[in-house]
Amino acid sequence: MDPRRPEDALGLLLAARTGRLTRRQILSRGLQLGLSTPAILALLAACQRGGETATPTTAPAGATPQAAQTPTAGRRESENREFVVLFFGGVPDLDPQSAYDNQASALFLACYEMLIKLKGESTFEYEPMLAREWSHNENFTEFTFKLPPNAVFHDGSPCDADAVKRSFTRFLKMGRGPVNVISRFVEDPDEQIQVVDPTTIKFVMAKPQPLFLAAMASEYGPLVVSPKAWDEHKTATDEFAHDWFSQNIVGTGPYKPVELLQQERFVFERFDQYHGERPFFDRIIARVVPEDATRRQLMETGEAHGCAYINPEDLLAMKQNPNLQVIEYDTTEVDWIRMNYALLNTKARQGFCYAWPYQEVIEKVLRGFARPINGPIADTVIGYDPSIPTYTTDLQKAKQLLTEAGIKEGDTFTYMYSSGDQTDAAMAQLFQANLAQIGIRLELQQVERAALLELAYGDTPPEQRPHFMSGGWWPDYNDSWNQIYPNYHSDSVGSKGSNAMFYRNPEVDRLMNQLKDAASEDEIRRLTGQIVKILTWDDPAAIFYAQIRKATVLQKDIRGFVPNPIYINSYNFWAMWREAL
Amino acid sequence: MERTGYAPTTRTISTLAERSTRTRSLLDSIRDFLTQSPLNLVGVVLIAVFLFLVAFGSLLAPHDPVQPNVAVKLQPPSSTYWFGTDELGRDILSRVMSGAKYSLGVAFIILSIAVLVGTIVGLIAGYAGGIVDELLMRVTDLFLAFPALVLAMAIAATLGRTLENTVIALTVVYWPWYARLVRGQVLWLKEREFVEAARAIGASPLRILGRHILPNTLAVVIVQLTLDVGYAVLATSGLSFIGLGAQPPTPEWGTMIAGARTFFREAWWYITFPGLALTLTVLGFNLLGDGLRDFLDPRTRRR
Repeated sequence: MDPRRPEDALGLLLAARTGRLTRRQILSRGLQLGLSTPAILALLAACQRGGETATPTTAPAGATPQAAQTPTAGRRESENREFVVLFFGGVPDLDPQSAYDNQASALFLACYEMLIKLKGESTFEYEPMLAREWSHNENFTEFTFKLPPNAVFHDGSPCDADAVKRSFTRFLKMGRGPVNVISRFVEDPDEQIQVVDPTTIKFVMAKPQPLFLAAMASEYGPLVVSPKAWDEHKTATDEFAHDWFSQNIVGTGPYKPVELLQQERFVFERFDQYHGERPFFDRIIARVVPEDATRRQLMETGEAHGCAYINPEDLLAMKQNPNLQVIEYDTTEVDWIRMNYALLNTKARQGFCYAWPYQEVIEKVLRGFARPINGPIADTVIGYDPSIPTYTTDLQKAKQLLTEAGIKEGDTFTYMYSSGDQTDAAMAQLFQANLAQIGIRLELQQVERAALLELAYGDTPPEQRPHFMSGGWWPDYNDSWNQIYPNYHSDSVGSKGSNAMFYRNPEVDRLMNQLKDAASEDEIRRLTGQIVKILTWDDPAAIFYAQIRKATVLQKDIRGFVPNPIYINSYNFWAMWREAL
Repeated sequence: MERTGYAPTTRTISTLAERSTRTRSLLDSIRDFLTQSPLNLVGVVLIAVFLFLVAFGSLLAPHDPVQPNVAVKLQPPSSTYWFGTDELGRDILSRVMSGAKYSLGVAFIILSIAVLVGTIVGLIAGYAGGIVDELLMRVTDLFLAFPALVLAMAIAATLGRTLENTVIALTVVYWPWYARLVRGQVLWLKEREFVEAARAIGASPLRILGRHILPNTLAVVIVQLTLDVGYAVLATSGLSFIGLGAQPPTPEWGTMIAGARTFFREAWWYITFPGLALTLTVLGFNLLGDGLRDFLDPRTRRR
């Protein structure tokens, strides 16, 4: 039995005992199984006990010890201390307090640091990163972080509490990209961030904020940059030195930059003055390889050692390759097709939801690296509500609803997706074929990824946008509000967020505002459920077609890699190593 | 009436090549052409096959070229699917057959417009000379200054990604070549005795251009045109390949090849057959073009 997907309570208990499931997963599975609350609590207790001795479950089974757990002396280390990872595109913005970009984050985990990071596969337990230890008061209004005395930036300047405060002040005042990750909790950095002594920094909240630690462990935004570099490179027109930071890296991470060719290659070398444990690899190289087939080839020839961007079809083939490990993991990502709120009425959107080829997409296009989902909240995220039904394809019903919506046979709709993405192209054509069966024409428009992002996150009015746009999202930290707010709140339309199809439902806005300040998990669950039901059924915002299962491909001698459902497509470079085989 | 009466006289002193072809029957010429070199025959046969597909490919396709059937996705060639199937289970043979009319048909449209525009501009520039010639040629230079495909990409990207816009983009790229070519011919022809004779007896410029100069430039244009069809097919597919031309599910060859490259390690047949169709079409037109050039050029022609 797959311990991740227990079919019965016994399986769940076993999974909990071995620490294979996160607390969140136990809770949701328990609820699905209709277990009583005491039973679930007992399971959770078992989970925590198990969790203490848990080993990462990544392949190869049992051979992936965490660096922190395995003494270096006990392992047969390879002489080859270079790790080459493959990207699919360039990273135009290297400013960690501005870039809201998956690949950029993967790079940042090599050279920048948050104060804390998520522990192993968990999405709610933490371990030290820049901070050595941390604590909070009982009602979650004061959070104290203790810094190591020997932390220095790559430019040689010390990283003390004052530097951390200045870095967070820059992040919050600059207000770019992922600022909402922390600004939700800290509105006034001058007042709320307090330097207690050179190695102690305190964050003070106006009200209880149980999610603050989760947000601080996000790989989007709360990374610490060098205030010295900021001072040296700010200009009259660029007081935050964003232009400079978008092309240069000065952090406290275990690797320092050697070469940053933003559309081509990034080379990092081990930083000798790193405050933490010395990592195994001497060099980390990230290569930009846009072509799917070339990335696969580089992995198969052994020229590259890790790649998180492999299409499902190739993954299936690479799983058969004895020289490679394909490490699969559940994520918090949900993929969807946004529907234009200004151009399509409620009935029309409901109709289109029924016309989507759910099963074909999951089985034949995503090849099982996905499973059906009942809304924008993945079953790994706080607030997931298993009682909300999931759509299945029903063309009769679709036709009926579309007719009621005033749509006639022969009407044409537009669907936009990024060119070069064959998975998107295949899904779009299956949807097109389904709609053709009920007399609706779907015109496909491929555009460059950059142009698509510009349209989605720009200020083009909704009337000039297509009817459908493909997309997907995962939260910056494990929280339903963080997943929904940027995508479906009316405050987040156009360039103000990611609500690219101008979804505006006053009831959803109201519930979301309540959810933001929810004090208990029960309340989070209740409010999220209500929101998801509206977003999916009552006034659909998008076609929510799959919760994504990801895979990272590694050479067979790579050890210590632990995937995390929140740090999707990233690497825990600090703990990874290569075994001599 | 007087002027028309002189026309036969002028025609009798037209080029040697023209006179000799006119005295022989068309069938004889075709036979001569086909027997001149076996490559000519190959070219003609290839083109005939693909022209047939342009006309009837969609009708004769054994399966629906557009309707997905994911149950049979990425099947290797078999007796049901001769060329195998693609990632959505569509028959590649059917898609290649119906794709001819997009890839090849579009190339014909592009070149027809380009030849028409280019010839008119070339005739005017060459015959008028002076400031008109200067002006028109500087405009053509403007277009020729850019690498053709880059210019076409820029135009297609600006106008939007449809097959119609590909036609516009490539037409813009191709017409200057014909304008240059025709102008050169006109400059040479207009000093010839038969043109001077026509002018001397008072024929209007339009008449001289239409009846005396244009027919004598056609041979050169046709040879160039034949050679260019191959390039136009390639350019159309090229633009579609990078997503600027035909949009899915249109079975255009370039679009198919673009889609296939993700799967070429798993499904060799997917990228091979549309690629082969493209290669053979271009080859066919190049063989025909080369053959025609040799055949129509009196200096290389076998007697």
